[in-house]
Formats: sequence, C-alpha cells, structure tokens
Amino acid sequence: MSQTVIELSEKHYSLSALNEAIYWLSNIYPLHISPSVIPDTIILSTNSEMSEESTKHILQVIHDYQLREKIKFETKSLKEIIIAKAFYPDVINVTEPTGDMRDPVLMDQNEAK
Amino acid sequence: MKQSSLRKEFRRFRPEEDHKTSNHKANFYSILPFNFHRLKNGETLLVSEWGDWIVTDTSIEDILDRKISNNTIDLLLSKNFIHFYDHPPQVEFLANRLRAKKSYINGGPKLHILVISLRCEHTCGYCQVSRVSSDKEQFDMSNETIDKALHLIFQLPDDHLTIEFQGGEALLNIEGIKYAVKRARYLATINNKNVTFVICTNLAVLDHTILDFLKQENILISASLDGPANVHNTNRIRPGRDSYQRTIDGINLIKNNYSFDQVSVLMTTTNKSLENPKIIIDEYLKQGFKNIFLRPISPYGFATFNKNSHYEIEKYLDFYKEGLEYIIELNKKGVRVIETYAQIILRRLLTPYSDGYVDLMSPAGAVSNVIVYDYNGKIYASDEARMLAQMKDDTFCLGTVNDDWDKLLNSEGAITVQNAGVGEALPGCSNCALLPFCGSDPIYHHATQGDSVGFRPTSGFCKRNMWLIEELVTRINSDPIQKKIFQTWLKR
Repeated sequence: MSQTVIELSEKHYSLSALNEAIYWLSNIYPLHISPSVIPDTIILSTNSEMSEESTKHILQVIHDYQLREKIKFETKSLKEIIIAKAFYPDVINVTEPTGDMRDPVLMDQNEAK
Repeated sequence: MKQSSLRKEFRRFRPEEDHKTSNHKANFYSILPFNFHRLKNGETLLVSEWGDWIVTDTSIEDILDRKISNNTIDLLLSKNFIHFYDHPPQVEFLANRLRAKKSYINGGPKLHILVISLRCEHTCGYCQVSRVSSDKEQFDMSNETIDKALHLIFQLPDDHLTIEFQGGEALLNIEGIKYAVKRARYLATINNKNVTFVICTNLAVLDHTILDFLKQENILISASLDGPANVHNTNRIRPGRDSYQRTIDGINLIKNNYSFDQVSVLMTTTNKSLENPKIIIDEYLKQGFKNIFLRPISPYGFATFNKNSHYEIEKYLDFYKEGLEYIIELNKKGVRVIETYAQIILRRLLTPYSDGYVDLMSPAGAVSNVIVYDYNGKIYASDEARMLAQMKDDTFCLGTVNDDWDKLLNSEGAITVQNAGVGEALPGCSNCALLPFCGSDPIYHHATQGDSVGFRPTSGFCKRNMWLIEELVTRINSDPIQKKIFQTWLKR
C-alpha cells in the first residue's frame, strides 16, 4: 500500500501544534502521528499517496499552528492579566506605568503643593 | 493605584517626539495577544484578542522576528497588536475593550420565549415544532403556567426584559397573551423593570380587534415572509393556499392601523428559495422592508423530514453570496437595504461593541441570554432546544416552571450548554482567529453531529460563519465603497 510520510523535527514542531493541525485537516487528510527511530523526530503519515500540493498544504497548516504556539507563548501572561482585569476589575490591580506623569489640571492636590 | 493618576494618563497626550517611529529603536517591541487567519487571496488577517483586525501581506514570521518596516510597526501599534518596551501596554484599556465585546454575558437571560400555543392553521414544511390543529385548546399555555413562568422571569437581575410569544401560531391564544401581558406589566411595575413584548405570528388570523390590543400594549410583531407568492405559498402551506395574501393583508393592516415600524419579517431559505434570491429581496423592497435576513434553515423538527428543506451548505452559501451582491448593488444605486446576518457580523468587525444575537455568542447564548417556556410548563435552553424535544430529544430541557433557578441553571441541560458553549475552550474554535466575531452553538452541533462540542472541520455552522466573516473582511479591505455602505448599515 502506498503511503506518504513526513518527518518533522520535534525541536521545531510541538506535539500540540501537530495535533491541532491534524484535527483541522482530518476531514481532508487522515494523518497519523508516530514516533521515529531517529531522535527528536516525529513521523506524520497517511495511508495514501499525496500530491506535492497536498503535502505543501499540510506543512503550511502545521507551520501556522506552530506560529500560533509561539505567539501564545510570548503573550500568555499578558493575555491572562487582560482577561482577568476584564472580568474581575476590582480584584486585579495593575501596576501604574512608571515615568513622569504630571497632572496638567492639578487634580492631584499633592502635586499642587 | 491612585484613581486620579489613572485619569491623568488617559487625559494627557504624549510628547510629539514619542509619535515619530524613527525615534524608537526600530523593532524593539513586544507583541500583544493576537491570532491570524490565511485569506484565500494570499493575504493574512490578523485579529487581536479583543477584535481589532488588519489585513496584511507582512509575514507572521517577520512580525515575530522583529523584521518589519516602520510603516508596519505604526500600523500594528495603532491597532494594539504590539507595544514598545518603554511604553507598557494599557491593560485597563484593553480589558475594557474585551469586556465591551463580551458585555452580553452580564446579567441573566434577557429574552424569554413563551410558547403560548401549539395550535397552528399552517402546515409549513420546514416547521421545527409539532403543531396541532387550531381547535385543540388543550395545547394552549394555561394561566397557571403563565403565572409560574412570569414569576421565574421577574426574579432575574436584568432591568430590561423581552418577552416573546411564539407558537404554533401565537395569536390563536390571544386570551393567553392578554393575560400574560397584563400580569407581566404588573410584575414589571412592582419589580421596577422594563419589559418589551414581541409576538411571532404568521398574520393569517390578525384582525382589527387583535390589532387594537397590540397597538394599545405597544407590542412588536415578528412575521414570516419567504418571498413572492410562488415561493411563500410553496414553503408555507395552509388551507386555501393563501398564506402569502394573508401575510400581505396583515402587513397592510398593521401599516394602516398601527405602525410599520412595529412589524418586522423573517424568511427561511428552502430549496425553493435557493432558486432565486433576487426575487425574494425584491419582494421585501416591494412591501417596504429595508432589512432582510437570508437565514438558512434550522436542522430541527419537520425540517429534517421535508425534501424542500434539505440542501448542502455550499448551495446555501452560493445563494447567500448572490443575494448579498445584489443587495450591495442596490445600495450602490441608492436603495437602502440591509442583510441582517451581515449586519450582525459587521457590528463585530467595525465597532467595539457586542450585540444580542443569541445564536452567535461565546459563551453560548442558550441559557445565558435566552430561555424558552413551553406551553406545557417545560423549560428549554433555547428555541432550538425545544425543537429538539419535538424530536423526542430532551437533552437541553432544564426543568419545569415548578423548579427554581438554582435547579434550572444546574440541570444537566444547562451544564451541557455551558461546558460545550465556550468557544475559547473548544477544539477548533480556541485557536481560530475569527472567534471574536463568531460564537458557539452546542445545540446545533448536538442536533447535526450528535455531539454538543462538535467537530469543526465538518460543521455547517463553522463553514457558514467562517465564509461570511472572510467574505466581509475581504470586501471591507478591498473596496472603500462597500466599506462605506457597510458602515451605513450600522447607523441606528
């Protein structure tokens, strides 16, 4: 039986990104993940021969999910703070930004002195 | 944190030099939470967590690697996709934006649907509920059930409630409606709440006496108009095959004796409708309506057994696209007509606000925004949940009017909706860039896929909404005239 096998480096593609990609593609390509004898490599396979265009499409989707993981990693803490502040505004205190913040209309009486 | 110092920050402009990007160390920025979606034209749609968006041909890799031009930096900065290291993100501002987008989750359910009667003199092929013939009064909601339902409704925290009477044909139990309205007005007064009434009717039994009552109580009327006579009568069958004429007569009666502003009409798309969207739109314009909702059929009740009500989602999307293009062309010629579903999505794309459309919310609008009280006292998570019950599936029945809110909101049905109704936690949705403009519908997925969580790659709900959001984004981004037209659709 012909098969298509894609080898991916674990250093560049996380399992969660792969799972997300496989979920979205499962209606079009039945893909399977399996470990490889080669260290730090994951095998993605399907029990049918795929065209170059299909392979390219799969790789693009996987790559996109990996990019999303990267964005999430960079923004996770801030996102949690914003969501918490949005729905628990009285509970979450945000540190005032530093810098010279003069009051032009002297609302703050301490500054007026 | 001093409140006054916060006000200072928002009131004060930064020095002019701060706004010149060349003064910043180029690319010394942090990214704010966002996602992206590949458009069919090769460009990329970036969407922030709170619904800001831009279409760009800059690669995501370049944004993440800090290899973008100053112009792109300006664009991303202005849309809250990045912030500079020396200017921390305005958490309060961004949190407010997110809270505004999700404001519909505040308070309790606002829309309460009372199925005042199961009687109906129509036998519409796509009807989602089992109706009984118009002489069976045992299928009317009793006064006792009305009392109990209203008692529950007025315990809720919201100051503004909407009570919608549905059927069957609601007007066949006009005495029940009169009783409910009188009782609800009394309860609204003593509980200091505002209540709006809506009646869903086919207008076939509307007469002057009933209309006088509706006018006196300032009740809004929601009717059905599927298109010109040949389409409407094919879809909506009644003895005498005169549903269309009766609908038009009813609309004219309201126009001449009440107010045209108090009546709205909806259509349902069937195979007959798919043949020609333009004649349906023309019919709406002919009758004076400026809004048309090109909505697909709901896959519940009799609709699942009727040949005229079955079609692939792709056929519906072709129908919708043709209809939308025609509507835009009419707008370009100065004829103001709005497609309602597009308007709902456009409000999410072009304003920071949310809307009250319960079928497209995350968390799901079922239970949180709408509750249905059936004629027999059973309570359902939504109208669609009641339709499922007609097919002997009580999954989303919350209980009865004899139960209290604690029991109803902790019922298995309510918990199923809550567990499967938060798109931010669902497979497929949680990583979708279009989620801020979309929603989740666990009841639809339960009905069509047998699983309330749903499987997004084959979901008709997903296909429809993703297609429409992409379509509108592409049109807004590529055609300033269409963008201007869409903006006029959002003016109240």
